This record gives sequence, C-alpha cells and structure tokens, in this order.
Amino acid sequence: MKAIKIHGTTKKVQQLVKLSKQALREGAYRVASRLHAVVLSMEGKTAPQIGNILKVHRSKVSIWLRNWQQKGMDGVLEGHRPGRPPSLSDDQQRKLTDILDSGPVAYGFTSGVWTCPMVARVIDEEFSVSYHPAHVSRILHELKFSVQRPKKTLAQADKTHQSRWIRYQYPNIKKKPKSKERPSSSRTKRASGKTQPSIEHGRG
Amino acid sequence: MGQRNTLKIFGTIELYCARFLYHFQKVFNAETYIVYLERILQCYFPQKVYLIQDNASYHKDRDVWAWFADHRKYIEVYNLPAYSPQFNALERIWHHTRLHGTHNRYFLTQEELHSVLTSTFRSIQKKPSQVMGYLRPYQ
Repeated sequence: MKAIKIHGTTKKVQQLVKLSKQALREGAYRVASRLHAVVLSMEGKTAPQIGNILKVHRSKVSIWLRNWQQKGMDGVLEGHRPGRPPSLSDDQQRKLTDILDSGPVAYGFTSGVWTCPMVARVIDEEFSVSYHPAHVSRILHELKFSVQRPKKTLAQADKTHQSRWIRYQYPNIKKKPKSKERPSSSRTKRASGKTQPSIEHGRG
Repeated sequence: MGQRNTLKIFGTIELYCARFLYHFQKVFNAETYIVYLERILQCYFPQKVYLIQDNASYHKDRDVWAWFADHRKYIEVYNLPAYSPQFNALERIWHHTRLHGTHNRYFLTQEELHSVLTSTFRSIQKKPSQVMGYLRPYQ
C-alpha cells in the first residue's frame, strides 16, 4: 500500500488544531486524536511516526488518514456505536409496561406499590432474564416510569376544618392592602428588615 | 437517666418579613407560654399582633385564654385546625433549623445543643432572606 500523505496549508492546520482542542474539551478524545494525526501528517510526518507520537498502532493511523482523504471531516467523527443489544425486546418491554400498569396486586403481589426487586422478579418469571434490582430502576426510567411517594396525611385531621381554614379563615386573617394611603411602599419595605410592621390594619 | 434530653423552645415567625423570635424554657405550660406572649407584645409594641398558633394544650389553657382576653387590644389569636402542621409556618423554620444546625450530629451536652441552636436562630434573625422561601406559601 502506498504511504498516505496529506497536504494542507498552515491555515488549515491551525483550524484543525483548534477543532481538535475543542473536541478534547467536549470529551470526544478519539476525534481529537484523529484530528491530531491528520495535522501531524500535514506537517510531513509518516504514519509510523504519528503512531509513535500518539501511542497508537501505525495501521490505525493509516486507516484514519485514508478516512480523512475519502470522507473528509465525516471520516474522523464518531460513528454510531450500537452497544450491547438489550436483553428485553421491544415486545417484551411493552408487555412489561402493561404488567406494571395493571398494578402489583393484579400480578399476585400483596403490596400496593411496585419496588425494583419485585419488578426484577417479574422480569425473571416472564422473560427469564435476570436483572439486578438496581438496573431494573434504570430500565423503568427508560420506560418512563418514575418513583411515586405517598403524601403524608394525619388520620386524625379534620378535612372540612382544614379546607375551611385554607379557603376562608386564613385569607381573612391575612394582611390586606391598605386601599389609599400607601399603595406600593409597604411591598418594597416588606423584605428589607425587621422593623417593618407586618400587620397594620385595625390597630387599637 | 432514661429521660429524653430535649430543649424546649417557643418560637414565632413573622410571615411577611421573617422576623423570628424564640425563647428557651424549662417546660411547656400555660405559665411559661404567657411569659413568652408578654415578650412578643414587648417586641411588637405598639403594633397589634395577629398570632396564629397550633393546638398544643397549653396554648388553649384557661389562663392563657384569660390572658388573651385581657390583652385583646394588642393581640388577636387564631387557632390552626387540629393535626395540621402543614399550615404552621413555624414548622418550616424548625425544619430549617434541623437541616442547618442539628441534623446528623451528636451532642455530648445540652449546652452544646443550646449553643448550636442559638447560633442557627441568630443567623435566621440576621439574614431572614434564608427562610423567606419557606414562608412564600403562607403569604
């Protein structure tokens, strides 16, 4: 194979160095080192020399340079990396969503709320896939489930009394704007300090 | 021995400017409550005080009601609904105190606890802005 040599002006080199630094800042260090290789090649280094500088194998450098020659900027960008395929297929995920939506009691649990270990058990029983409960939580978030916490209410509290307080009694106690005398000043003073009287109407 | 080592504090918070008053007491009862109420009146004199209190038994003692009746000119009192701490703005201040002063700490002596609480309260008094957010729902 013929040795690849890339030609570039000083301006182009400067531009690429800038891009490479930006890529490094953004965490795309693979893109950065590829750009670095291109820059070095423009400065007249050969592939083995570049490999030596960047501490990668020379064959890798050749591939990068060829990509650059053929595809330009697209050649050095990160490609799509599919990662490990999920153990649950789309169909299974949909089925899991249905099961979760219908509640734990419908599935045969005694508890009223789903927990991750419970869901892990369901997944194991339904699809024979064993997941760690902590990972189940991640899957549930991907399926757009979120943690629901019950709201605390006191059993002995009187609901009607409470709503009467909220709707009627408390608003009546609250300070009302004094109609004429001081339209705006009290509002600005309020936050300023300790000396501002909070409740002024009906003194004496 | 066998007793809970607690400090007892009366407190009030002014809803619109977060002026915070507190008072350490040995016990909670009608007598000490009246002492505290007198202090409130002193602090706010000559303005009239609109006081919202929860339903602790010593807040509704006969002596206390008599005192309120005597000082009707300077103080007006309202009771919250029973078992409804969510309507009590001061509970938020206690929450703040716990978060910033006493949470996850071991206090060897009561004096230590006392000094930590006092410094937290003083900081609230000095910088009311740090608790204004808690009072927003009540304003």
